[in-house]
Amino acid sequence: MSLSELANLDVTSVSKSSEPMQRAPATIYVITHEDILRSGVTSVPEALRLAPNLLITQTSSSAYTISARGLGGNPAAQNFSNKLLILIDGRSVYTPLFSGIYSDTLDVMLEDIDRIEVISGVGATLWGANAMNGVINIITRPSYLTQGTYVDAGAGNQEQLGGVRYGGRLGPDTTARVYGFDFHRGAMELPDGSTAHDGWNKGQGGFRSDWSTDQDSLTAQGDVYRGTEQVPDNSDGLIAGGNLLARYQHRTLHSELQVQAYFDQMERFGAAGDGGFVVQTYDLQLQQSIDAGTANRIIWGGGERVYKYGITNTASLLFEPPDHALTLGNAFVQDTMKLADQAALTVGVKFEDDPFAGWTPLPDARLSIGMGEHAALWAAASRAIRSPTPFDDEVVEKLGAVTELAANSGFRPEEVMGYELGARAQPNSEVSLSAAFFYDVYDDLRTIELGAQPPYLPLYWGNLMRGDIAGLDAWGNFQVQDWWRLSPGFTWVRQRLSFKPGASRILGLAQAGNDPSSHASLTSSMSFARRTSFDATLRYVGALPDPGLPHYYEIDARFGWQASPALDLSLGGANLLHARHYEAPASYGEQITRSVIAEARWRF
Amino acid sequence: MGILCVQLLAVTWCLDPAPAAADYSQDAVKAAYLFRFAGYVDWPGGADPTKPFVIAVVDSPAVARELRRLVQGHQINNRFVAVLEANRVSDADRPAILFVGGGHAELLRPALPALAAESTLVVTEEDGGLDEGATLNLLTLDHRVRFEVSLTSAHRAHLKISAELLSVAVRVTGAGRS
Repeated sequence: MSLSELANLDVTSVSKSSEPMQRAPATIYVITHEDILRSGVTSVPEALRLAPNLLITQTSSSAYTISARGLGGNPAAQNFSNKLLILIDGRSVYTPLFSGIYSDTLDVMLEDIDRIEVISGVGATLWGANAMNGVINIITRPSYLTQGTYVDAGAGNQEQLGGVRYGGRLGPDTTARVYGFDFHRGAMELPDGSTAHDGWNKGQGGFRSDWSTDQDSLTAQGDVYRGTEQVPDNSDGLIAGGNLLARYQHRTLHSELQVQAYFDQMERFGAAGDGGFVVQTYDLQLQQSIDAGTANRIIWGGGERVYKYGITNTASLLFEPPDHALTLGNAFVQDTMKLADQAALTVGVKFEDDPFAGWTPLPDARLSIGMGEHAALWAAASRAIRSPTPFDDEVVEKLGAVTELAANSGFRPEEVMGYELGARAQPNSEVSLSAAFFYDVYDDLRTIELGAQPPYLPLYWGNLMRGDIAGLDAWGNFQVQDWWRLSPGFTWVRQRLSFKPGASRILGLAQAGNDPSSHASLTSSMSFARRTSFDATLRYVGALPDPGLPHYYEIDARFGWQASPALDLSLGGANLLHARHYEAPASYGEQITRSVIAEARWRF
Repeated sequence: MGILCVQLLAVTWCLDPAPAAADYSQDAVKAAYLFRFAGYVDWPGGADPTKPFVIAVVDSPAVARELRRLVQGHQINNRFVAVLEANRVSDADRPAILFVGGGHAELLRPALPALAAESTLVVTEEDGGLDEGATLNLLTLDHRVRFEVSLTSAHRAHLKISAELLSVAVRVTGAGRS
């Protein structure tokens, strides 16, 4: 084809995620590599604060609660944030024991992250149960994009960190990288200024190799980590783990096949006498997407996951049985139909075989309509569940010889039916806007119920709460000048929950989620001459209802200077407005301390 | 990163429904340009025919993939073609053509003197790419991929751009324009 023929070709299919107008019929915010490096964050949970559709609550030096669209849990009522999935390169990192996330196991070499896709809303058809309120995909760069040596080192009042990564070529079609990092994050402070004794250290290392030809690619990657965490008035706790993942893809012009398998082990032991657990996960997934004719794209697939765990019980909290193997199977199919030039309908369903609840259908329908070049509307209706866990079905709590809480094998899945209506617009190259209204109808939310007769012990977990949550996720980008961008974000959530007839009403409605009714942020990104930059984010989090906590404002900022093409120097700070502030009530959160850090990054 | 997008998200959402048979992806068209440009540009001095003709791609795996598909079994100026991917401009080892993916043209600046000295044809794909020192800049206009040319940059790298290429360009800037 000649140059002039090329110049006259119509191009309509878009495959790059950096395309200015995302047409995805879902609430997706993408945190880019650039965003992460410029913001100066030093951990994945802190990086997640960059997504306006997530609420991140730090409760100690090592612990964060991550939630979206309400129902973020209430640790004071033994209800943990458990309605969100997180995947790192396709590997699920939630714990099957209570469906929550251990935020101290999320670490990834930040330099190697390509992007973090944050989807708020129901995403169960693709990602399975527990993707009730959102899915977070942390995606690292293939090793052919992380060639060469990278070294970083940082020191500040709250943390010290260092890391090295080296990427090289193993053959004409094969590249690989290895990395290692280590950090210490200091303890928070109690109101009287003494230490909260919750500091921690962690070391992690790993590799990724990628082999690719025109039609096939094979990725193998793995990580190991080990850390110690201080526990007030006791010996240190231990976290350790590792994983190994392989993924094969075969692409032809009109189809793509992917097979992925991984093994993951997580160990976690509290201080002396606090118990602990080891969980091993084996996962195999297969999926294929096929272009059927010119107007349909079908994806189907299935997978099987096996969890094996062993728990060291304590005198007051016992899992019965303490050793168990759980299997989780699924099969799904989804079709995206092109209805008209600018309209597409996606319908799909996943059937998931849960160890406690059996087969459950998770259907989903999404419609997207382009409004010319610069705007799009979309709507979605989908169902998800939060599947029962050993913590719901098999846990027993004791106070001395008295059994306070008994296992309830009749615990049902928590359910949501979610409806969304979204719009995106990019009226010109300086402005982009995105907004999504959501209305989620919940049933069978977890409650605590009374035993049959006085003294009504033992208690047990029930499903006697329901309600609806309405709200808005909105954000925008404004390129004020060539060198200055402003990015506001806002989430509003209105929860309307009620107990069902017969409920004990113990622990109140806020046991489902001690959530603020709104949170907001404003990020300013400035790039100056002489390769300097200044980035700052102001965030606002509304008051928490029960246990109560006033609203707060905080600022994170970073000043960066590219001293040479190979060397970046920076000065960053987190939570700069207050020497200490609470993000969670004192019953389950420490005061979070202001931190500043000087950092250097070399690439050669 | 198109690949991962496909595997985690685009399976359903990122991609529009299947393109009609006559449509071409932007990445494929950009790759075709990179392959074709060589026929309209003269590099100074005699090339060593035993060495491959290197096209380096920085931060655009999708274009690199399309390009690899395209160059298989083909030669440019009687030399075999090698497509290299690099994550930084300075990693690309003396390529004849260097393509820098969208949003990364500013990375060029520190490397420009070396690139000019090696007579590398630098191609970008973003607004302002020519100002950052590229000789050719790809633009998407009205569903078509077009390009603009900086003769200043071409002159600096001792590259001769053919009149035929200039006639297809949407814009030609810089000294040396006759």
